Amino acid sequence: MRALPPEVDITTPPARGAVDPGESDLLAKAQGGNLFAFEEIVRRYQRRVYGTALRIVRRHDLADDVVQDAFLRAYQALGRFDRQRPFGPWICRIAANLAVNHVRSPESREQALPESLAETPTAEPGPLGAVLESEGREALDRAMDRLSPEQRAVFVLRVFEELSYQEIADALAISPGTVMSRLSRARARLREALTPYLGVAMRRAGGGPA
Amino acid sequence: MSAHVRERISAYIDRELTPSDRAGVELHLRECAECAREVDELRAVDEVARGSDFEAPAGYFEVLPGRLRARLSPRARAPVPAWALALAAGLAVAVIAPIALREGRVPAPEAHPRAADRVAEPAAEEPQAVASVPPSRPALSSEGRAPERLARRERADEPAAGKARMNAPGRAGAAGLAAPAPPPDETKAAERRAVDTLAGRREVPAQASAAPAAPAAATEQVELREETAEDEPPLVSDNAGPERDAAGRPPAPPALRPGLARSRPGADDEFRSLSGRAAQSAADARALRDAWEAFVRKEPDGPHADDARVRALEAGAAAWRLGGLREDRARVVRDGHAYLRRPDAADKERVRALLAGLEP
Repeated sequence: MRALPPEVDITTPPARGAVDPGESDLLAKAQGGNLFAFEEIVRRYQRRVYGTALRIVRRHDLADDVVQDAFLRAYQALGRFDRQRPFGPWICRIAANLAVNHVRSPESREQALPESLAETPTAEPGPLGAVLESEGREALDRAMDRLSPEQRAVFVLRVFEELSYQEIADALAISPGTVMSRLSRARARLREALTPYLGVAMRRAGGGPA
Repeated sequence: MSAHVRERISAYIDRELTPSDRAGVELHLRECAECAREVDELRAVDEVARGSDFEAPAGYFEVLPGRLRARLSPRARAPVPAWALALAAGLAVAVIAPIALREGRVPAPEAHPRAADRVAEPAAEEPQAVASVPPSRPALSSEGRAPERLARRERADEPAAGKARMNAPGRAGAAGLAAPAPPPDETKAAERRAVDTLAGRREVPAQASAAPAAPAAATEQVELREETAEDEPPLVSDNAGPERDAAGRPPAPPALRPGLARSRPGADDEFRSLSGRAAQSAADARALRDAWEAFVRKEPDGPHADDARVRALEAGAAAWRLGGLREDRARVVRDGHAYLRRPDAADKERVRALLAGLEP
């Protein structure tokens, strides 16, 4: 979070699931065709939507396409958007749906996906924990690459957007049962890849049954 | 010990099991260390994933909102319905044609097709909209690959329920996305309309007030222009060219534009001209900022003044980003706060966001 210049009463994006009254005003303006208002909405949600898209399509250029498509679609559909509902989950559902279709499309299949994001330069060697953490991130990247786009989509919508299985099912046009099985398989594969690095995270998560 | 519950652990940690299934899993977990460990590890997987960050190329999030606005702008029709544009064209005809005929001045031949196209465009493209209902939402730009790709998805591989979900907020929107791309000339004309739309919000009601005359007037203008003679210079100079407004409306004297916004002569053109300028350097951005501020000084209460104030701030922020001079930033902060204190400020949210985006 950047420091704000003095005197600025900035309205931060609402917590996930909450509806910010200022945002409702922005949405109302955007629904009336005010592109500046919509641009502000984009500004607020672009990172979140980009994160959703990138985690599914795994490449910036594809994520960029998805993000733009998602916002353009959202603008088109804005007239019927219920402003009492939070915008974030809605736009992320749109992005996830587009992302899965995007990666599945013939156009996308023609382009070889990178072997792994781990090919990017690694961080400077540091304390053992930092090295393990860095290796864990790379292992996560590799494991995410190996998931199918459909598995990545359910995982992203559940873990990052915290949507319910029913919401994920609606977003991706699949049954809740399919959400459950895809998510279970995705987690199992990620667990397999991350086992050596899970210790710290397990202590952080607290462990124990829910 | 009961059977392992691995296939249900993922749903268990998401609290998506039915109460009876959940109770069954919990019973098993109390006696099975292996499954209990798997619960912990799957939670840890989520934790690791949530802790992972992503990166976008430098500057990506700085430009994305503007890129999207630009993609939406060219065909943004909602705030100025097609019939209002046709009305504007009609007003132009009503003013120009009698003068041209009385003074014996007629447009040069090269001006005919373009002018006719411009005037006829709304009616030809959206006859129903001109005749009755204005379109409710803008369609999308012809730029980029999105329309083709989305059109392909509409035909082929988009899941049906996904469509239903996404269409719930607006099926018409998807249809708009799938529409064929307009030809470049039309896009340019639409861009001009969009600039008008953004710049002249206050003009809309005035234009709307005389709407019923529009379609007939537009038709009349086309016919008049087709019949005019050939060798005289155009009454409407092509110098205005792309800067002229959407309906080809010339910068008529204020007295001849009753009901339209109180904009000084040439202000619309100047606004559009400044809107089209992009700063490549801090010096460019400062010059643009100064130009916007000069614009506001000339027309502090005009229909473009609010947008111009915001654009001056944006140009100032660009100067800061491009040049890194503290003076530039201080000026944006000072002027931004002054803007936020204005009772007539219409885009406070935008300015707050702009101020928040300034590097410390």
